[in-house]
Amino acid sequence: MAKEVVVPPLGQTTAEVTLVHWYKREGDAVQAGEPLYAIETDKAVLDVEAPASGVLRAVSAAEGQTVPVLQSIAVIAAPDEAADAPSAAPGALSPDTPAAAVPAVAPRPAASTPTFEPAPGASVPVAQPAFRTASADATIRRLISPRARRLAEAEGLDWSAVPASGPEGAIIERDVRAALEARDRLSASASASAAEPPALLMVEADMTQALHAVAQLRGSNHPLTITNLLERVVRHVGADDAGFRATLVHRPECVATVFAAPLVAGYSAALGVGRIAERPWTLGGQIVARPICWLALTYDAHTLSEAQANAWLGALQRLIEQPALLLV
Amino acid sequence: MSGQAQSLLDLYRTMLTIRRFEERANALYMEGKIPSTLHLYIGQEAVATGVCAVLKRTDYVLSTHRPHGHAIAKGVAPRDIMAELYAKVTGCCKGKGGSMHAGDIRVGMPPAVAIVGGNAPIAAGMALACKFQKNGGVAVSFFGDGAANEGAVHEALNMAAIWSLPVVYVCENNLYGASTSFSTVFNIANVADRAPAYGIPGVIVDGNDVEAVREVAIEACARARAGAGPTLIEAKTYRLCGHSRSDPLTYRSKEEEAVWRARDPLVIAAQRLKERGEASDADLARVEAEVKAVIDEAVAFAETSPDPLATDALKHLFVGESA
Amino acid sequence: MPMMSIAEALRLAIREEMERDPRVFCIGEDIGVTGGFGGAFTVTLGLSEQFGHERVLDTPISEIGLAGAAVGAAMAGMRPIADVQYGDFLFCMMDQLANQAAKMTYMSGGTVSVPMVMRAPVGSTRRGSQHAQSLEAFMCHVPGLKVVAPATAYDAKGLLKAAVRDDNPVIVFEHKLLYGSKGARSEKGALSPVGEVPSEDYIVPIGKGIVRREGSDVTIVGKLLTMYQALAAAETLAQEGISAEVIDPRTLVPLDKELILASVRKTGRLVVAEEDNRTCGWAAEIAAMVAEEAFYYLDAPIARVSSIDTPPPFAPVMEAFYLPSADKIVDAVHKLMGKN
Repeated sequence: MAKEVVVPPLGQTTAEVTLVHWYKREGDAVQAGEPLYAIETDKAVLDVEAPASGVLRAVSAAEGQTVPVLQSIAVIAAPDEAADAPSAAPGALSPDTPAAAVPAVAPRPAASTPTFEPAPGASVPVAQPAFRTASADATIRRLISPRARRLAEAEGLDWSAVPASGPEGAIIERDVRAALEARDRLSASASASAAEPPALLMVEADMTQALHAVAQLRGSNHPLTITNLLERVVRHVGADDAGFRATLVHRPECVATVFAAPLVAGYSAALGVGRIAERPWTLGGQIVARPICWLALTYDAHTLSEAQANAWLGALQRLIEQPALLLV
Repeated sequence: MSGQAQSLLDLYRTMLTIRRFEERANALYMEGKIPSTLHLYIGQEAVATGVCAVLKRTDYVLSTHRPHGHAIAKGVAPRDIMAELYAKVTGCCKGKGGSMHAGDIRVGMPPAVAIVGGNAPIAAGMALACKFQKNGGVAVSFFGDGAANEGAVHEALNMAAIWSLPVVYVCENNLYGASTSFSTVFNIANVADRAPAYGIPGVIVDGNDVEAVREVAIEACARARAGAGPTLIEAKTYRLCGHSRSDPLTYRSKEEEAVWRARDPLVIAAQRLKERGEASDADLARVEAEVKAVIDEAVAFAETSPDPLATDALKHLFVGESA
Repeated sequence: MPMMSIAEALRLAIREEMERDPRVFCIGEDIGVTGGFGGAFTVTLGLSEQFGHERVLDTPISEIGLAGAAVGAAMAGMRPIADVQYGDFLFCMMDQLANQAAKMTYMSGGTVSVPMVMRAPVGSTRRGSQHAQSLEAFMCHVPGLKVVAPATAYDAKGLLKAAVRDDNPVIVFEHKLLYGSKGARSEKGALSPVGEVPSEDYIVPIGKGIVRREGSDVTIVGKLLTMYQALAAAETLAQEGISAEVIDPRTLVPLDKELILASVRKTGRLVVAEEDNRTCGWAAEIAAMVAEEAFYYLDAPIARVSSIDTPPPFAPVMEAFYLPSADKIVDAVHKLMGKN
């Protein structure tokens, strides 16, 4: 049975995208999960994976064309199947279409690994993408109070990346309420103006000093992990700049060295940190091997300028490369 | 069964009722009909019978973990006790007491107190109430020789003495506290020897002679009702059976048992009835048949009574709640 | 309306009940001696002069005997108010309370009643280990006993009267530092919460707690002295912008669960303050009850502020370390609020 190729919804602020490129042509065989086409929002270019295996047929959108989200733009048919042209109406996917029918999207910079997929739970009113990594099972367990969890679930909020302010780093009711308020604000502004997608800025950071600090403090009364250090950096930048409300997703087990964290509704930025790997690095004109990691800052391009995000990323990088500024 | 001016044959009938009730209960226990152990009173029937013969229905009796004899003598219906042993909802405690807590407050006997010595202060309190209420009532505390060494008994005897309470303490000295012999745990010959230390009369009586027991009880109760205070009666007796159903009786000699078996209170009373011409063998056989009918009826009642509901466990925690 | 200390309010309650009902009498050690103390903390002072020594009955120093006498008298139609000089001595009479008083009604299939009151002073007051313990949890653990703990003069009168009129055994816990006893029996460091006590007859129903201070961020449950510590803590917290609700259960058995649950559903946080030792304690029971019945309303772990698990120590510096306090309650709230 033919499977429609539907332009994915990219968050509550994106109403239409530009189809940049088809990786396959009409009649080509495609495998489920391989990049099928690329789309561009105002701030990002993303690959969209094929939703099924078969033959690409009935392509109705050309490269360069602007397409509304949820529009069906092609069909993947069985090799011997005749495909009808897809419906051109944007409402081809009814609102209650199961989330699983929506194709996966991958941000271009990390073409191989991280893939977008809708947040679990089709009742989530804001179709907020969440990243899945190659080792999704190794997600860090987050603490949330029963009261906060109850509220989040009642409101259909994915709490997995809500910043915590409770005891032992737990998400508590006030955190969920803040996230809900921000979400409401965002939906209000989204409905009032043109949509903007999240945007991404990335930079490499030299982790030599950070690793040194962790080694130094091992066994002391105040031991530190890299994750702790990153959390403190994010908190520190947040304390210095009230506009910087950021989540941190640290994926040391991720195959990719670059990891872009999902931007959570209500937060201005998300810092994704992947694996630390030894890389060639120039230092005083010499090429040396250094432990390097990528800092990927996802930010809300609708409300923030690239310059602001750039300043934050710089602050993050500076503190991570010179943790002594933080630890004194 | 309580009340004044009973004949020896009446006393014999009460003792026989206790004996046959317990023999039957023991047999039923062996058949698995009764879900708990039984502390039998066999051999001591003259004590409960002689004392309770002096009491009014409104007087109080406080008993022990060995209460069947006291209950029957005080007038609790054998069928209600048997149903309680069967753990039936019709039992005298609605299945919440069992053998060790048999009693029926309607005849002046609250649930028996199965904590050794525990009833002595309660008897003092009930006597205190009688004194406040000026109703002429008396409370009787039955306890064993083992209980005599409990602090609670000492405290109660002293309080009863200083306040001249209308209470009678009846120590049934059957020579063993469970398996421990009297001489091992007393440095005196008689429990009653302690009475002078409290400034009260101490009376020793042959606990297997129901008329002798009744005589001392009459005097003790009269003294109590007159406001002259408590009496400590020591009834010398013997348990002709084990402490509980698991007791092999290996701690006492067959010779000792034979001596006491010859002094079985039922045998003594029957001989005396015949000697005095107050009852013939035919009369005794008739009493035997009457008692058997009572016990048969009690067993039939227990057998046919309904079990309590499991959730009846929730009832009766407090007065005035889901009674 | 007359202002009274708790000792005076309890005395008034006893006097009114003895005047009202000839079945009521007092029994205890040193309670009615002419020229004596009126009990360890003056509560029965002057009552023997009014009612005579028969109805204000001094016993030998025989805790088992006096408790058992109260049980027996109650079973036989009287309404004894028994008095133990220090709560610690309840251990001496435990058979009479736990095996006899608590079980007679049950074992009799509901046909016997034991309408007795046992008053017991608790609280650590620089008397060392054996005149200082808080035995509330021990007594609450025995099915068949009702347990009340009045912390104000109003409640002292109303709850004691309700206890006398109840057809079941009721343990009344009183705190030594709250009596406001005067003269030789006054206590160093006492709070003496004098309060308005109506002259007319009233009862405080057994089983009803009360909100002593309304708040929205955290619920603090405290009884007897810890209720006042909770109020002091709430005042401190208010200055930091933390709004604490203080609940005084007043009756420990049967507990006014709904009052506590409703408060926790509102605030999402619970601190239970008690002077009892911590392990298997009263606060543990409250915490478990809330965890079972209001788990999804909790925004933080439940905290207990209890005495540490040692006997009450004598030296004031150690005693202060041992006992709960307003500061310790404030610290516990800070922890729950994510502040250090």
